[in-house]
Amino acid sequence: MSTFMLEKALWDLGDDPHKIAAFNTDPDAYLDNYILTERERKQVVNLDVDEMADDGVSTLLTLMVWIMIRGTESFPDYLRKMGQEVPA
Amino acid sequence: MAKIVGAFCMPHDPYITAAPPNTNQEQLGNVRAAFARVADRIAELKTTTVITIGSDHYCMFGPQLIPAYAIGIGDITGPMEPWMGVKEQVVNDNREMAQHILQYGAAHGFDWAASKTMCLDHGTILPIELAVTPAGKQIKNIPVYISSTLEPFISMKRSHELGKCIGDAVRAWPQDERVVILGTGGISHWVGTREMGKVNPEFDYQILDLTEKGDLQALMALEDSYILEHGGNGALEIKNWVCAMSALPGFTGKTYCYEPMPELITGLGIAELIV
Repeated sequence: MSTFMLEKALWDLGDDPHKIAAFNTDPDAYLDNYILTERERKQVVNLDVDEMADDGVSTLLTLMVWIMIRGTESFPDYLRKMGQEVPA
Repeated sequence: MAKIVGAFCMPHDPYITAAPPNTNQEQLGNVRAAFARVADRIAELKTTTVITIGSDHYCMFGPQLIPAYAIGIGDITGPMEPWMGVKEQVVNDNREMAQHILQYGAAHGFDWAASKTMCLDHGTILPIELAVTPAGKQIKNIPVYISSTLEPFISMKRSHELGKCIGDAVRAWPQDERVVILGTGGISHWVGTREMGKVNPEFDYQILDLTEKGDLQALMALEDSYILEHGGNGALEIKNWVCAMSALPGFTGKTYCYEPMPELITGLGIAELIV
């Protein structure tokens, strides 16, 4: 497939809080609903937003899903994950 | 007859209403004061309807369908983001005029995507919350979305043509309506990328300078690649500004404020377009 399906998996998480709960409970079962490569599955499970961005996934989505799953207070962690030096 | 009585360009940064603790309060105060000044002008102009041109940030639309441009022709609600500090609300609509703009467009080569139940994300609701509602709760709203942030991006040329069509449609509306148009978003910001938090005042002043001069041709000549390099993926939202500017030929601009705010991830510029 393509990053488009990965974007769909991310977008659905942002669109429906119930899917966030389902993802948090059993990420693999949630991702079974999408045709993804093993690399893509791993990226979503680990929230490897840096890798996803490098692969061409929309960073609007990676940021949105990060905040939805980890909360607005985790914003500095997002920047760290993207390679920025952010003081604790 | 309806007429366009004013227009403004402004950011729609959701962190203006959900500012992090490290925010420079003086700068934020300047931005909020400029929004209040816009609201005062909208009231002073005896505005009856505001057309707000905004973007989506993968909230309103998803990978399954990304329209080039869309208009809210029915119920309007928002915001989609519960975290942005804006109360969930029903927005006062002008569905009759929105339908007219849609039909006028269809007759002139613009096949609008239409939303009968449009739920707005921060790209449209934030300017309504800070600049329109304080001007008067009776003011009606028409939300317009253009694909300036989601790929495939709308072209600068098409943004211009669409804005011109919106302006022509307003002027062809037979009812008395005093319309203000808002072009929202920008200026420099990098959304979700490795450069997120970077702001480029040099680029932002370039945009504000062209706005003040009313140099629409120079703004339209900016290539996406140039904007992405110097202003970031969020700066493509100046196409929303171009769309608004194109509705009122012969404008010049008056800058209300500019504040580069890395903690709000954006260079925040607000200007009035004067005909």
